[in-house]
Amino acid sequence: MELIEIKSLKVTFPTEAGLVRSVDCVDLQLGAREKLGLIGETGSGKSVLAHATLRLLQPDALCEGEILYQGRNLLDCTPTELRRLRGRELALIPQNPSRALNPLQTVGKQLFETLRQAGYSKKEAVAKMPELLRSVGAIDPDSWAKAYPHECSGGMCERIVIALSLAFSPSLLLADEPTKGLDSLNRARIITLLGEVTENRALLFITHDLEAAALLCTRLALMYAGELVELGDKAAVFENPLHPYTRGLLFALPARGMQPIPGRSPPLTALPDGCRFHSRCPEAIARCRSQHPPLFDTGNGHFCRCWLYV
Amino acid sequence: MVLEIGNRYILRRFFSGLLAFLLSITLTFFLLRSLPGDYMTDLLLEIGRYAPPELVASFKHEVGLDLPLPEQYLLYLTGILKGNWGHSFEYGLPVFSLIREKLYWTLVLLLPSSLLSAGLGMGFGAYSGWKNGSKTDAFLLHSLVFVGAVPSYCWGFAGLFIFSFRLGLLPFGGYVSLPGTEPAGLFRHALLPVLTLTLCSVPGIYYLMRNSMLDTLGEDYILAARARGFSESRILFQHALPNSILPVLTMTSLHCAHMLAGSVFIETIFAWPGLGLLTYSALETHDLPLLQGIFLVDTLLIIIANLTADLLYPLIDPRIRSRIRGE
Amino acid sequence: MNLKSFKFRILKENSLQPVRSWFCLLFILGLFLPACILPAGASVIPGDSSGDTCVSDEELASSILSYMEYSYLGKEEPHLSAEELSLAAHNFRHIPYGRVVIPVSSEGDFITPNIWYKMGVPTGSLIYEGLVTRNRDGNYDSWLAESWNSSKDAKVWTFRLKEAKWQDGEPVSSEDVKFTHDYLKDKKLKLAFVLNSVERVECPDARTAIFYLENPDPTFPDRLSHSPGIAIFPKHIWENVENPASYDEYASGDTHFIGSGPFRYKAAERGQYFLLEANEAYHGDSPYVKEVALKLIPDASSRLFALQSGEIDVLPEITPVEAEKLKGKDNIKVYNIPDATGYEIAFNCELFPTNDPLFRQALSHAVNRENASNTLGNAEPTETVFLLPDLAHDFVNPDCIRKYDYDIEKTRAIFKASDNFSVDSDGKVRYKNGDQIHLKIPLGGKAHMNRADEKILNAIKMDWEDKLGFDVEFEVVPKDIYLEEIGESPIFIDGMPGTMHDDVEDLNNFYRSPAGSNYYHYDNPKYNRLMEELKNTTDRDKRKEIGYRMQAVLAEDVPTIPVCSTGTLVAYRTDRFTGWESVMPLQAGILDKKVFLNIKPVSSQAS
Repeated sequence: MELIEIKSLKVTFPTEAGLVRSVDCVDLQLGAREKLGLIGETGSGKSVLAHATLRLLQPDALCEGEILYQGRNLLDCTPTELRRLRGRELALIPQNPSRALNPLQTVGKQLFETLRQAGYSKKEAVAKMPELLRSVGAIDPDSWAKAYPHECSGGMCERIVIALSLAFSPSLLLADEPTKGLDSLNRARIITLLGEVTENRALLFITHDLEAAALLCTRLALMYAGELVELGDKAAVFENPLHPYTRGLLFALPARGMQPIPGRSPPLTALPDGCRFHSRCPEAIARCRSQHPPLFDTGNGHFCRCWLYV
Repeated sequence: MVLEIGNRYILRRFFSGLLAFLLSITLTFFLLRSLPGDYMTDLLLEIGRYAPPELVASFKHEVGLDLPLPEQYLLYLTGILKGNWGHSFEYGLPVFSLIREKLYWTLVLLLPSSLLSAGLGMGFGAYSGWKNGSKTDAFLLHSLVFVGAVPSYCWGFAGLFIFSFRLGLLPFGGYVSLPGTEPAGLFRHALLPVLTLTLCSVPGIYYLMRNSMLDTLGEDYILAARARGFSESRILFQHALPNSILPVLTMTSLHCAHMLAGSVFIETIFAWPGLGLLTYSALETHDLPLLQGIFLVDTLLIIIANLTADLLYPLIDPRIRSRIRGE
Repeated sequence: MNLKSFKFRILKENSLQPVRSWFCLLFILGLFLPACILPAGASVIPGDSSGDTCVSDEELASSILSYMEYSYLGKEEPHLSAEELSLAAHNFRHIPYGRVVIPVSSEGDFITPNIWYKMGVPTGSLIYEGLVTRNRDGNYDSWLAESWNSSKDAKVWTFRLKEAKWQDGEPVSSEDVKFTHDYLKDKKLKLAFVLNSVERVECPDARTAIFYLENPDPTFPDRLSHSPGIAIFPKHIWENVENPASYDEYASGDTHFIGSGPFRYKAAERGQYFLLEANEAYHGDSPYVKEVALKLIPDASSRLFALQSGEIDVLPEITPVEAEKLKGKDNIKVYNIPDATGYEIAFNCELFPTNDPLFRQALSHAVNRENASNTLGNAEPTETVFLLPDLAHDFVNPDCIRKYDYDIEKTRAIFKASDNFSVDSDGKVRYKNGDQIHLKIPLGGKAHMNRADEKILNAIKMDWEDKLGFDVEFEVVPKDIYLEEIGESPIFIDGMPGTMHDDVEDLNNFYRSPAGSNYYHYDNPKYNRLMEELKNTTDRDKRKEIGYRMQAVLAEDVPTIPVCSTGTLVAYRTDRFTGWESVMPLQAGILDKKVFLNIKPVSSQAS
């Protein structure tokens, strides 16, 4: 059985400018210990998808569809059930690690609180703290524990946030852009660290960084304007990208010529008819403008939302 | 904790306070002297129709108002340093003891109402922000907007009308009853003015606190705490509240200092002879030494309020603490 | 109170002995004169069946009789309850009773320096007294002085003092009078200017004080008595006070506020109240009220509440609007003290165009005094050139009354006859060169109280603009700026106390002395000569005659147009004290010992 199964998930936000369709009919499966990279530009709906999974969206957000975790629909859970699942089973590594820590408390205190939340007694929590910090790469855990978040560097914060999410030993980690804003050295270290800590658990790796995803994940999913546009094994996606958007992203990589995709993604309040990518697509045909493409199965678990693969 | 703040920081704050104080008394000194009219002319015109110039001149000579301004200023400064704030023209009493007496009565109103309004304003504001969008929030917001929109004068009257005039439960102002009448304690005398003052300053603190809470709730660490499965109450008291109180702190301390000068209406309605009433009458009669004294005390209080907030901040906020250490 | 013990007390009083002998006669009379037994109405003094606000011995006796009949024989209900009978006895025997509570608006009203430096007497005359005081009839009431006279040249004034005591038991002596004069001048206190013309004071004996003046002053008693008047202070207390400006009398222990007046200091709470009690050793009649409490209530609306709830018993100096609000309220009555303030349209006789006497005369016909008075509420039009007839009486020149009636046609006729102005076919007045007449009037002086100046201006503006074609512009400015502006503005609206319109001496307002100009920049050599003559004349008839001639000059020159005079409105509770209206204080305020010696409690609820 799959660990988590997202079935035609739709997330919309009512705003003054109209209904924002952040996530539109997304289907995804993630098996235990599977590592999936969710790739997309800012605003493509990947973070919303992660937050929806943990039911952390603001109250006015509307979720439709199903998110099954071990067969249980998270969208039907009561707040108490959710609280029991959060952290323990599904852990989030939030974006902006330095802002994801309470600025008024020391790292140690926050770690301690989290460990207590995870069910450790006070003594155990104190004893476990250095071990946990060491596991994310701290050489001097005591000085880390004494530091306040503003005294920590970006990489340090990322590690602390990872440590916080590991306090529970969850079965699924949702890492929301953990490599954002890090220099290449730290980025590499964090990727390594994530690889280490997720050896025995599933990872949903949300990023716009294709290379990082390639290093960590076995499967890749690409999102554009709220929908999945391509889904497949890492090798298949890299060797044989089907969707023009995926191809565009690959060409934008430094190693492949650094040619950015022209234009901008459409506003989520006013999505165009037809394919949402057609205005930026170099290969668009007449049909792309008028008809919205479904996700075509091209075999070998490789899916693509493009009229070129009818 | 205090040692951690560092003596240098305290000294620096203290000196900047002192500088502000000197600047402010210098400004008020020259401003007050540039006001048109003077005490004696006013007084003589109140009595009769003429202000004989020789009388005005002799009065000015007597109190030293005919000296060149720089000399007056020097005399004033040395006077303050020596603890001699001069004598009020109107009351004939030393300015310092006069203000001390009035300040006492102002504080009798101000302290309880400051604490109450800070407590209530922060409490309601925090709750309202936390329950943003709920019915309670809408109710609190609308009713406090209404409370804030009605001038303090009207609330004072409404209170007086209902509780003193109609129901006869509370005395009609003042802090003592006439001897021989049914004695009412200080508590009953102060109840209405304190409540009115509180009522009028709660909305300001409430808005601040509500906004600050809303801002805080949008922060990533609240989301992160939720993602870790912390209970709502834990998130509120451990994370949201301490962080949202921070920006409100300075404003609240200044708000309280301003209430001091701004309670003229309340003091008038309730015949409460505090600093506000004294300021008003001193302004009316051009009682220069008294006005100088009052502004001096006002300045001092605001500086003290600021200083308190400045010293409290590093105790609460580690970011400021390390900025100080870095200095 | 226990009925029996009360009766016992009344009968034990020795002074009631003669009353007993009346009993039989009255018993019979009482049967035939049931009319003299009136039910005790709310505003009638208990026992006062004749309504003369006094309880005579007959009235008291009949009340007692009816009470005894009831208690011994069980006959019909007495017309007075025990409490009320007690009050009747208090009033009859002049035993002070009850407490009257008056609001004051500022803390400054409590303090003695106020009397030393500021308003003097009669304001504040409850504790302190002067030598004499003027009254509204143009005569003088005696206070500490029993009699007084002047030398023929009005340079030496002799005052004979009553046998009076300070409130601490020391006798009042002429040394105190001399001391007050010397102290005011030595310490350079503000009221010293009142005594500027006094060269020295001598005390030939303990009860005679002689003032030697530098210049003749036929109105010296007037000068001493108001605006502000000089109170006499006890030498034995104040000679020890080195610096009265910084003397804190609240803290001075036993020597608190010692004066010679009908009330003495009892208790005070700084900034809250000031409680006085009747001084039973007073040299005149002692008061009927036992205590007077001055209570600080700075806010006008709070004062209104306080009066209606019975917190205070009288509310002086209310506005016409407030008076209207109080009308018809239970147990509250409003009365007017007339002629408190006189309002005038004043000219600067040196500035264009008001330097032209014809211009001023013409405008005198264009002021609708009736209309202006109506807009002010409690005002009376003033038809004289300056003095108010109700205060100055026969000193008002009858030929100068209603000299300038309200008649726009007359205004136009004067302008038409003038060389400097022309009147067009619509009746609009222009300068000869055709320019419109533009007048800018500053407002904000003493007349700005209750916005009286604005109301007066609005009343005349219509005529001046619509009928005469002027362009009238006005601007409300702060008091201090107002004083500067009137020096540069040809017309302004002013107000001053009624006591400045009550004597020919007040015509001094228009005198241009060698030392300087006057308020109106008015300078008529003939008038100045008359004023100098007046100052050297002591004979009343001669002064009157000179005054008439001076008023005739003013009527020609019109340096000012008196418009109207307003009164002070006072509200009081009819169920507490009576006698407010039967005595008029000299000045606007009611804090005059004359008033407080007159009021009597009407109910036992008054304490």
